[in-house]
Order: sequence, then C-alpha cells, then structure tokens
Amino acid sequence: MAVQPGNILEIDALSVTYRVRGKTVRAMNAASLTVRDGEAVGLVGESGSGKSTLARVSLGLIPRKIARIESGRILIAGRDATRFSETEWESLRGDPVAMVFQDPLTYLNPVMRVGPQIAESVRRHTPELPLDQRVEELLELVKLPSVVTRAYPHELSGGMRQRALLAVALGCRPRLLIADEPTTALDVTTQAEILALLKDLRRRLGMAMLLISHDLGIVASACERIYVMYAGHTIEWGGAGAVFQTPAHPYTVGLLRAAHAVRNAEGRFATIAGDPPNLAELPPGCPFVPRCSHALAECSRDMPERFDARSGDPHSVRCWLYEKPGLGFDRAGTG
Amino acid sequence: MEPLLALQNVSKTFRRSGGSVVHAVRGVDLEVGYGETLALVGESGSGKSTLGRIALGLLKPDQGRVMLAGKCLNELPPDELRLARTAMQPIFQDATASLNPRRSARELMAQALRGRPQAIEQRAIALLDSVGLRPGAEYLPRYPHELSGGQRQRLAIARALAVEPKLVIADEPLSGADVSIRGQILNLLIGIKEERGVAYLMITHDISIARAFADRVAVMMQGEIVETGPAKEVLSAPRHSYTKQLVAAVPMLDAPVNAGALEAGD
Amino acid sequence: MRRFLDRFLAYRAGMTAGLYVLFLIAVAIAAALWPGIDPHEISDRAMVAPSMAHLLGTDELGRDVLLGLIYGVRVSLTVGFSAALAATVIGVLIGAAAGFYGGWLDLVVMRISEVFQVVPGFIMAAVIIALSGPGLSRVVMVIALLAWPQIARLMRGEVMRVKQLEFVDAVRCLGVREWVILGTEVIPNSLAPVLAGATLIVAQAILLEASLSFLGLSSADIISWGRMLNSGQRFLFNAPWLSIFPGFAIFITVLAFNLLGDAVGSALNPKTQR
Repeated sequence: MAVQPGNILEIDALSVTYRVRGKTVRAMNAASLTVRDGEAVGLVGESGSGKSTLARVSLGLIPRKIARIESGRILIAGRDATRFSETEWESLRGDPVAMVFQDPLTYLNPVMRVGPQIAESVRRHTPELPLDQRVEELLELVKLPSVVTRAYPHELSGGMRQRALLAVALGCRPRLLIADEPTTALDVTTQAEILALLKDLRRRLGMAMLLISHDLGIVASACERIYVMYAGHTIEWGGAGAVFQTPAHPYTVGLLRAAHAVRNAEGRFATIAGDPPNLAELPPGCPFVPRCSHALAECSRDMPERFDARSGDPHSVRCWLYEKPGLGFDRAGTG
Repeated sequence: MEPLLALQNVSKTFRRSGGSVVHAVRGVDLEVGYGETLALVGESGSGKSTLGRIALGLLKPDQGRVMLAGKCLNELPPDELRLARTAMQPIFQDATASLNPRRSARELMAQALRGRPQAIEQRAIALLDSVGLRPGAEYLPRYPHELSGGQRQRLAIARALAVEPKLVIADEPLSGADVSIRGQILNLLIGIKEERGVAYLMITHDISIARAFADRVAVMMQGEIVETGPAKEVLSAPRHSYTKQLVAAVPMLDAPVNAGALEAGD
Repeated sequence: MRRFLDRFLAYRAGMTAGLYVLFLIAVAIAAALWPGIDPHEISDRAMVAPSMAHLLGTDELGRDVLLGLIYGVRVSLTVGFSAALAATVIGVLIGAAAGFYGGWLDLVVMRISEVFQVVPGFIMAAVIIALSGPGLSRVVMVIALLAWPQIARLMRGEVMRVKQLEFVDAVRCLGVREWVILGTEVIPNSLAPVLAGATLIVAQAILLEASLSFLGLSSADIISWGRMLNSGQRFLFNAPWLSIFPGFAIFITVLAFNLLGDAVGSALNPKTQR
C-alpha cells in the first residue's frame, strides 16, 4: 500500500482528566503534538508531565471508567478518533499505530512461547503473507536468533524481551511506532543496542516513531523533532538542535542543565527549585510559575498561545517572556 | 592512615532455588577513606548492591573481612556490631520503601535520635531544616505518604544523619527521582559532606553522575572490580574494555549553548 | 484506613455480614442487660408451635425458643471471639518469631503446625473435652489450641515478606535491637492478613462449640445453640421448630463470619485493589 505522506498522528489541544478518589487529576491540558509520516519525534517530560497519558490516548488506551477527554481532538492518519468506540480503536491498534512499553513482560503472554505470539500478530494483520517466513523475517529485523521462538518470555533477558515485543509490534506493519520509555528498565549497554535497533528499523521500514522518555540524552540521540511537556501542557517544541541547543522555556533550560550533570564553580549541580506539580491542584496560568525565577505577572493569569522562532526554524514556545521583542520569537500568526 | 572502610577479599555466593549458583561478589578489595566520595558503578547483576549490603553488615560475606575504622566487623559480638555499624548509614533507591509507612516524621526521627542526650524534638527539627524540609516543625507530624518523592528522600537522609555517621552508603539514591529533583538531592549530599565531613559510597549505574559527584570510582562487572581510579580519569579515559563499553553507551547531551532570552531578560 | 473502608464497603456480602454481626453483638448485650427475664424459666406450655405468644415456639419443658436463641448468642460470640483472640495472640507471636528468626525455630514451628493440619480438629477437640470434662473456658482453650497454627502460618509468611523491606534494614542500621525491630517494625506491618484469618476462626469456633454441644459435650446448665439442637433433635418430627431455628441461627452466623473474613481479607490485600 502506498503511504500518503501526511500526519500519521495529530493531537490537537487535547485535555484529559482522571477522576481519582473524588479528585480531578488534569493529566493533559490542551496539549498538541504532531507526528508526520516517517519522522522520529521525541516527547520529553518528568513524572506527572502527561507524556504517558498522551501515548495511551493516542491508542485509545486510557481507562474509560475514570478518564475523560474534556476537549480537543485526536487524528490518526487523518481520521478523527476522539470519540471512537473500543471496537473502532481496535481497528487502529497495531496498524497503523503500534506501541512498545517500558516493561515488555507485562505485554507478552507469560504462558505462550515467543514464536506463536509474533505469528499471531502476523496472522491478524497480514494473513496473505507466508507465516513462517514472515516470523523469520521479523526476528531478523529485531536481530534475535530464531531459537528465541521456542522460549517463554521469562527465559529471555530484558533486552531480548524488548526485541521480542518489537517483533510483535512490527508484525502489524505500523506506520507509527509509539515507544513509551522503551529502555528505562534496561542497562546502559543494552539501552544503546535497543536505541541503535530502533534507528535501524526506522531507516529500513520508513516508519514514524514517537519516542517518549524522561531521559533527554536518549531523545536527543534518536529524534529529529522534540516536544517538551510539563504538567500536561506542551510548553516547547521544535527541531532537536533548536530545542537542545537554544532552549527557550525556563523549564526546558533548567531541565537541560540538570540533565547535563556538571558541577558549577561552587561545586553544585544545576537544579530546578521546588517540587514537581500536583496535577490535582494546578494553579491557574502557567503550571511552572511556582518553580520559575523569571515569572511575570501575566504568567499566573493564563498560558500564552505559542510564540514562533523568527528565524523560520521550526521552534515554538509557550511562555510570556517571549512577548518581549528582541528575543527572536514572535507571537504566532503575527511574524 | 588506615581507611574508614576496607573490604578485604570479600566473596558472596547465592544459591538459587533451581540449584544454580550465582557468584555475586568475587574476591573484592575496596577502600573508602575518611571524607572521600567513592562511586561504585556497574550494570544490574554486577554485584554492586550485594557489596553495599555486605559493607553495611546486612549480609554476611562467605569469605573476606569488612573493616570499619580498623575494627573487623565480622569478628565483633552481635551487640558491639550493632553499635559499631551505626557509623555507616544507608540511603536507598526507594525512599518510600525505606520509611515505615506507619510512622510520622517525628517518630522516625525520634527512633534515630533515641538515647541521645539533647532534646529530641529540637534535634529533629534542626535536622529536618538542614535537609531542606523547612520549617522542620511543620514536617514533624507528617507521614511518608503525605510527602512528595523528593521530600521523602530528604527525610530518609535526615534520619541517616541523626546518628552522625562517618560513612553514608547510598544505593542508587537518584533512580526514583526526576531529573529536576536529582540536582537538589546531590547538592544536599555535597552540602552535608562539606559541613560534616562524611564519606560517601555511592552505588550507581549512572556514569555521568558518578563522574561529576565522586572523587574516586570503582567499576564492577560480574562480581569483580575491573577498574578503579580518580572518577574523572577513569570515566573520561577508561582503560578496561568493559568500562570503555559502558562509557560509550551513555547517550551524551551537550550543554545548552545559550538560554538566550533568559539571560538577556534578567 | 479510609481506603480500607471504601474497599470493604464495596463488598456487598461482606457489608451485610458485618451488619448482621453488629446486630448479634447488640442482641447479646441487650440480653445481658435486660432485667428479670430468665430463659431457663419453665412453663406448663410445653412443645407449643410458633405462635404470637411464642414466636418460635417452646421446648419440651415449656422454655421459649426465641429467648433461648437470644441468650445463646452470648455463648456463641463469647466462645468465638475469645477463641479467635487466644489463637491470634499465640499464632502471631509464634508465627512472627518463626518467620523473623528462621532456622531451627522455623522448622520446628512449621512441623508442629503441619501436625495440627493433618489431625482432624473436631475429633481431637471431642476427645480432649470428653477426657477433661465440659466447660466454656475449656472449649475456648481447645479451639485456640487447634486454630493457632493457621494464624501462625499466615503471620510467618507475611513477616518473611515484611522483614526484607528496606525500612527494616534502615532501622537495623540505626542500631536497634533485633527483637525490638520485630516488635515495632515488622509485626505492626504484618497484621493485616492475620485479621482476616482471625475472623474466619471466629466462624470455626462457633461451629465447633455448637458441634461439641450437639454431641452433649457441654454443661447442661448453659444455654447454647448446639445444646438446643441437641435436645431438639429427639423431637425432630413432632416439634421441628426446636431443631430448625437453632440450626438456622448457627448456619447464618457461621456464614456471616466467613463472608466477613473474606471481605476483610480482600479489602486488606493490595493485589485486589481496583
């Protein structure tokens, strides 16, 4: 099938809330994110940033009993999936959008050998292809030896399990692979192997990827475009070079400095003051205000729409500081 | 001068339920000097946590000796061992698990300060203040589940400091913390060292933090220490092939070139 | 605590059972406080079928069955609660020591508890009571003796889980003595599943007391449901109410404590959190 170039995933000002023990937790607050066909997009955020909710909502995997989409839209390959039923979502899972997770053991069937699990995914999505040959192909793709087909998930190492889960996901021939913290549970050397594999797969299959991680180094090494989330808002996004070399939002700046793990002249590490936000008690306006040393009066009133880089590079930020002229950013639509 | 902590030819073997044998630690020699910060780095299964538990006296080595300030812990009678090893305090990865959920900060601190002459309440408040839980008096009645992750780790650190340890053994103290909180905890540890002169044995898988935080580093692989030396040297120009591999695997992040607007806006 | 209550209330059956148990306790207290009524009072209206005057009828000596049941609640609950309490105290101490210290102590305790699991409890109880003579305190002791191993096993397992949690190691590094650690850190954090087990023992104890009384292994001057059943079964065909009502009371009460135990267990078990 010829793939139409376009947006495989489009999250448009999406707000999601959870009801947890009588409280409303605002997991996503008018967050927007776009993944074009074939591109690698990184989504960075700390715990409580809403990045995992974004991943799950993109596959219709939020628990319907307690979660609610308050406003905004989700478009999958151009189709509006915001109000999709469970059955409609099922038709989208695997193809065109597949997902791998931090803990593959939770998503692999513990009492079924790995081979049949990969075969099942092939049978469901590409029944026309010769089964054994396709399974063999997938194993080769994720660089697993064929003996693995006869192993149970618990007999594999962490890295091999992640490869096995990748094979299951790729069996669906996705146009977009969402990887939610795929290497967080792994050792650094194994992590490097999996990241290299993901890169190689994208190159060979031309598939788009949304890589979600709290680790800026991982995202920087693997992605072309970056989104930064904080307290359910997408606060800054743009090309990887722009976001990482010339970060604009005070939070992104702080996060990058903290992640860099270098001590200053007094022998101290860079930090961001204060505690991560409590999603059940978000202040009005920008959620970063309590931790921000640059906050202006308007920051506590509301969150600005976006300011775009004047240079024309794709780089946008949602922060009132950039209303001031001469900082290289213009209010969206005026530049 | 003798080292504060010396592990001499320490070995530990575990027998798994299936009958297979795991040599978690194999003939390790390791020393931590007074006031020194040593990072013990390695991947999961390298035996670094087992070594930490042996140093703390929580696990008996099959072989070898644990010397603390010149005394051999393995040869002390139980009551003396119990008191001697308070000179070492642990900080664990998961602050939630390291605090009894049924005890308030006041009770947790009182437990650590018990048997000390000064007024316990005042000491507790002073300690909480010193780890950045200010004002300390407000935190006394709180239970661990009423604190944020970073605050819990601070409380665990305050408790460890209550017994005035000479060595703090921190097993992955940052793994559970967000990037933005990590620096706060590290700076707290650095400040404590400057004020009290404690030594640290930091067990971590994070190469970049080991490099920036520690004076010396020991790299562990499959139960053995394969390379030791000054942290910056070893982790910038590693010699052992395994250390090289480890260092190369870390995704590097360059420092942000500028934070243009923010500096200009100040 | 609030989460425990929320989850507990989610189990309808458990909640109904809980209300029923509260009702029984109220009845027992009311019966003890009500002056001037004697359930032993004999009247000339013997073997009267249920009617407005005697809601559940009277027995061969003209004693009111309802009044008997009400006074019997006390016996059942006293036996049930005291036996469960005694078994829990013994089981918690022994199980905690075995799980915490391990080694030969653990080995010995586990073997003993296995012996108790293999021996049929009821027969053993009957033999002991028959040899030592009847009496409520004896019944309580025998039941406690039979039931403590269940609690000990539960406690041992939980203590073995809790003792390897990090906060125990952290306290150990503060120089606290081992037995203090066991008492102040490990046991308080291990009691939850034992609570459920203790509730189930109340049910077992009530049933066992009733069974022993039914066999006549209780003093004749104490009114208990088992005793009423024992004297009623001779008239099963001419006065079925003498058997049906006490039997039903035993059945419902034992069922209630079982449901309550299950609900307490589920509500305390983090794995069943929804």
